[in-house]
Amino acid sequence: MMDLHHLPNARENEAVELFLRRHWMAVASIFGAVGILLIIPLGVTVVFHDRILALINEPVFAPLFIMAVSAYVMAIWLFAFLEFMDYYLDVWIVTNERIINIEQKGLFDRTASELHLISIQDVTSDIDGILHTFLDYGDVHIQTAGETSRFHFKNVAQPDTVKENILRLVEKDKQRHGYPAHSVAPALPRQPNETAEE
Amino acid sequence: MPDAFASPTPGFPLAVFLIPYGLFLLIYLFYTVFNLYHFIRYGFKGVGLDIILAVYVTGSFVLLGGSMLVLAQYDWGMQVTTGNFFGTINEILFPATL
Repeated sequence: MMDLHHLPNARENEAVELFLRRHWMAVASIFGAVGILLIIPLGVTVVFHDRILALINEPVFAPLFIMAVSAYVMAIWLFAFLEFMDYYLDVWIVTNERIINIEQKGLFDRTASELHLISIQDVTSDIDGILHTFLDYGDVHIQTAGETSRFHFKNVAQPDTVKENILRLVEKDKQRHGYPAHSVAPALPRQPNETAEE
Repeated sequence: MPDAFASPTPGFPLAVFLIPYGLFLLIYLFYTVFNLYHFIRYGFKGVGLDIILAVYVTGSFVLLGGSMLVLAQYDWGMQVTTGNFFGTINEILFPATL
C-alpha cells in the first residue's frame, strides 16, 4: 500500500504537489455499462414475463434460472470492480522533484515510471471533443530532451491548469538546481529503477 | 405388469448443473482474490480504499449468500430426463398457437 507522505525513493523536502487520476467520466462510464448490462435482461423479463414466470414455476428450471441470474449479476459486479481497479490504480503523482507515472493495464500488467522535473522540455495540454470541452478534461503530454516516448496523462481534469502547474514546478526545480529560468537543462541519464514493469 | 422390454428413460440428477456453476464460482473467487490483492498492495492509504474494499467484499458476500440461500430450497436430487427437459422448454418458450 502506498503512502503519499512516504513515497518510494523520496528526496529531501520532497512534497506532493498534484495527485491525478482520470476524470470522473471514467467511473461514470463504468456505471453506465453496468446499468445497460442490467437493464437489458430486465427489459427481456418485462416483455416475456409470462413465459419466464412459467419457467420459474417448473421444478427443473427454477434453480437453473436462479443460477443463471446469479452468475450473470456476479459477473457484472466483478467486471465493474475490475474496471474500477484499472481506473483507481492509474495515477500520476507530481512532486516538487519528479513525476511518478503508474499505469495498471489489466490485472497482471503494471508499469511505474519516474521522470525528474529538470529533464522536462515540453508540456502540452490537449482537450479534444464536445464532452471534453464542456467537462474540461483531456490529456497532458510531457516531453523530455533525451526520450522519444513521453509521459501521457490521459483524461485528467483541468489539463490546462495541470500543464501550468507542472511548468511552474519545472522552473522552480531548475532554479533550485542552479539553472537559469527557461533554460534547457541536460537530460539526466536513465536510472536503473526509473522504469519498472511489475 | 411391468414391460420387460421397456428401457429406462435416461436421466441425471439436477445437481449436475452445479458443476459449471461451481466452476464459475471458482473463477469468480480467483479474480476477486487478485482484485483485492491489487487494491491492498498498490492502493493508497486512506479511508477511500477502506470503503472500496468494504463495498466490494460486502457486495460479493450478499450476492453469493443470497444465491446460496435461494438455491438451497430446491431438490437437487431430482432426476432430469431429456423428455421433461426439452419438452418443457418447447411448451413454455414456444407455445402452440392455433
